[in-house]
Amino acid sequence: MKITVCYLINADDISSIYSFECANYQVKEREQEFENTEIEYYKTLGGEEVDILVGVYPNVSKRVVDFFQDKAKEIIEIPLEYTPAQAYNILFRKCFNSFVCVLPTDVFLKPNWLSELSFFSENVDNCGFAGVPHTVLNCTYSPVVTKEFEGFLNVFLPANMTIKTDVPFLFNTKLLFTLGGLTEDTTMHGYEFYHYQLRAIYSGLVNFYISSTASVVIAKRQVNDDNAKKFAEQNVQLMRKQKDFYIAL
Amino acid sequence: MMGRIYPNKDLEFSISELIDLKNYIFSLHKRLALLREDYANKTPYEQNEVAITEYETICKIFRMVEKLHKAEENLSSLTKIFYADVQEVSRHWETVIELAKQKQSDSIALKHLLYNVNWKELNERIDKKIEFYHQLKKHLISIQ
Repeated sequence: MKITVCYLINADDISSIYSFECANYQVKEREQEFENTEIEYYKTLGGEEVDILVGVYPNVSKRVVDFFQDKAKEIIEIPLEYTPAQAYNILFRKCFNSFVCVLPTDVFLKPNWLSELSFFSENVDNCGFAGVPHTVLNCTYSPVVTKEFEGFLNVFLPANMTIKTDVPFLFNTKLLFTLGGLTEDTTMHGYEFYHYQLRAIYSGLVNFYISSTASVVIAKRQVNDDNAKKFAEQNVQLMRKQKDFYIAL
Repeated sequence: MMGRIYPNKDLEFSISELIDLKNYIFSLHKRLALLREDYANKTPYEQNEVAITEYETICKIFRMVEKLHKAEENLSSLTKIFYADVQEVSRHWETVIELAKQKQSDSIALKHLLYNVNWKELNERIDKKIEFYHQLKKHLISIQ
């Protein structure tokens, strides 16, 4: 299973390099079935094979861009006037692997974080957003139904059913076809992923934190105000009445 | 090809400590949930033991959260220092190296430092580069 990792760099900050390195980027040699075949290499992050898409704003220095040159499958320049939601939508349009992982900057993780995350995402039935928890306050440790096993997996379910998106999270690429992209409405700025998770909930999916590993978030992301959150909730209620959660990507 | 994950030893230790601490707190939270499993079928003695363990676990969580806040502050200051060092090195590296080469005839220690350094390793490892930069800077200041 291959995962597309979306990494958006919106400030010229060297922390984007070092927090990425802490996510355990490696190039590995693919095991060959036959002798004398050409050696094939593949890229891994957090213990899983990945394609890395990096979105960079024009204010990001050449040094940072150069660092990702051989690591990223594609470096996409984002126009300065674009909001992060618009930028992510550009990246999402290029996601064709089974899962999409959004990796924020200034997060530190255990080396095998993506393997853990993909295990839960693969096995939990109706998986929406699965995140690596920074904190589990206001969460309940509960079993959720699994796909293949006749049993349950225990996860941390947030009280408001949505996870914080300043941590790395994973979702199935199918969501981009069923729910579309993020809302680009600026009145919901900072709450676009919250809006997306609400749409996922009303589509019968579960958002949760995995219970096997933690993340460390250094810079807490600043969101504007509660009005944006309220707008996001109202907008989803409107979509619910119209029975359509799709936003064209 | 196995690479280094964390930029330096201090950060590696601090991040690992913090993640382990968080995992420990998460496990305590899990214990609180799992303790109540099959509660109704337990004997009064077992139910009392569950209650005691719950109190102990909650107290432990509070203690660990305090420890966690200190570890987070520590990591935050370590990352600030590291990023400041990286910025400084990237800005003044050429100047300091040039100056050190000029002044090496004034100091045997400085000459020794410049001749014995592994330049390839410096280019690959930022922690070594920062360490070397500070050593050079210290020597240059002592000469002046």
